[in-house]
Amino acid sequence: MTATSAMADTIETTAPPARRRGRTGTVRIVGSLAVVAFYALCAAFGPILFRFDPVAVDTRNRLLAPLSHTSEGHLVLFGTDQIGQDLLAKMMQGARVSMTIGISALLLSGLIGLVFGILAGWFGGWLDSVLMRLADIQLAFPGILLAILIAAVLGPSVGNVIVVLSISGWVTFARVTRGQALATKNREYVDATRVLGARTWHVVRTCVLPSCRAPFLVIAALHIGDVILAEASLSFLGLGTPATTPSWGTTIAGGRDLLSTAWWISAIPGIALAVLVVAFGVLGDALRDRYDPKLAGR
Amino acid sequence: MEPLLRVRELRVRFATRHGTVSAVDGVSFDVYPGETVAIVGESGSGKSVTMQAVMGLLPRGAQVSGSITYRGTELVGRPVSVTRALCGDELAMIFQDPLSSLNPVFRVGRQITEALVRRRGMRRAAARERAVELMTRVGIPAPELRVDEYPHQFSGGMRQRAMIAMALAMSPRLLIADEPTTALDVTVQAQIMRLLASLRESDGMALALITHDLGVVADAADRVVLMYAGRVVETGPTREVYEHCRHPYTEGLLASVPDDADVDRLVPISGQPPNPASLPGGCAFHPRCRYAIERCRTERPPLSVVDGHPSACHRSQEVGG
Repeated sequence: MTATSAMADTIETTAPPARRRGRTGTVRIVGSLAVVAFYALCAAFGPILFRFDPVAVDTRNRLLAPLSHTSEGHLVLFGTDQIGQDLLAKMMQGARVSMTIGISALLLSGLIGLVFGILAGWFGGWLDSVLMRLADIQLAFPGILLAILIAAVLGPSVGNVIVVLSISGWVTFARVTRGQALATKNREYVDATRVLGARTWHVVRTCVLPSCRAPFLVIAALHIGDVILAEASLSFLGLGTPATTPSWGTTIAGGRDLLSTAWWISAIPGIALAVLVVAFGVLGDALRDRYDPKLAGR
Repeated sequence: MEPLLRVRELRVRFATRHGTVSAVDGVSFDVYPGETVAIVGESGSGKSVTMQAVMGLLPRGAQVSGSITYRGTELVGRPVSVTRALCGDELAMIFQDPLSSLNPVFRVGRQITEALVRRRGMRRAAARERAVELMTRVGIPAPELRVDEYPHQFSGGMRQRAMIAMALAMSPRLLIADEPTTALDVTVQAQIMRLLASLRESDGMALALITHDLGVVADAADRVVLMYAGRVVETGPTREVYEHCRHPYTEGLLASVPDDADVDRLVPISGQPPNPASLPGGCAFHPRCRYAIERCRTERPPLSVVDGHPSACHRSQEVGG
């Protein structure tokens, strides 16, 4: 009697998890997406609500601490910097710049990686050797060093930063695409598509590209955090965006000399940056666990 | 009558680390409109490679020589695009493993009519109706529902039916079936073979059937081409080959088919098929042949007609009945 009820208990308690299988990391995905979405909203609408003028100077209200009031009686949530600019407005503008650069660089490096990966994996031969050795050579350099080198040559501007960051990011995408192309190339459904008269481009589009979708999503989420961080590093070093387009990196660099007296100028954008990068990292990990456990450790 | 497909002295070689391996060595046969030709042989006999050569599916690095003509168009030594232009309307192929020959990311109905949409410019809505029609023809139940399903929702037999529907979409004149029933269980095998036979009859399409199953051949094929170690060893009308086989290999194969009356006694062919990288000299079958004489070890027998149909054996007079 007790044995049967105990058995019934185990059956009842073990049944629901079986149904929830394949939905790993839902909490992590939703949570990190919420953080990312909050940043995206701030970046999209913040600069409209809080007008930010990069050349405006307000000496009466300079170096105000967070949560204090200006001489006009407005609350400054994150304080002001050394020329009296509202840090909150400046950061929202910075979020717009940083995220635009991050997404553009990601798309561009994804595109380069996709094209090179398909060329290497599908067509193979000497092209494969050349492209993959190029990738190996690039991986031998520390990424940020390469970015600094190229940025120093090209000079600071938003467009150049995007180019620099995409050059340093294409390798991962290319390798994954190449792997998928190699894996798909010899599948029977590729032959089946061919014997219906499909040409190379059609086969690539219908057979290789769909298989790249899940790994691309995972790598993109893992990579975008790195890209935003790299952009901040370049701007911090004065090689990223020019001072008239304040990204987080330039804002953090601007407060460096005042760390002992006005910590918030560097610290608050730094925290904002860290939270966003961590959110993307969590999102990437969760997506990887869900879509492609084999990618773990790459 | 002009043959649809004419293969003459086809040779396929692969360069490997251990030297050049000859997978197909001087194979010739014809497929005429509306007939079923079975190409029979063990694994490694070159039967699939022959058809891959016809369809232009060989991996890069394969050296093809000889001649393959489809309705007078030479295919050997020409760019693959010449073959691809014939694919669909003229030539179609179905594969051994229906599980892996459907693209997992597209709906079955869409895959069936992809060629119609792409090459005939058919609209998607019309194509969907055509897909339902084709699926009805190949005997897929509830086609209006299944047309929007994905391959993983289909069973093995249903997938092979879907593959056949896909091959039929452009009404080809010649369908090449590479072991279409190997991956299926016996009852489904019979259904698929019956389906192919009825489609062949209603459409007047020719069928080149690659198989190692002599039971399938006996029921379905008009003519049979037996291959061993990359060469044709015997060919002729199915009936004649079965009743008066002229090659010891054919005799061995027929003896190893289970007999209704005497299920316990199977007579297998002793030994293993030879390694294509180091074929025995003379007749490649001699190490396994109970008729083998000294001449078989040194001199390769040519394919020659000895009362009735061609076979490649020095002692074909003494083989069979």
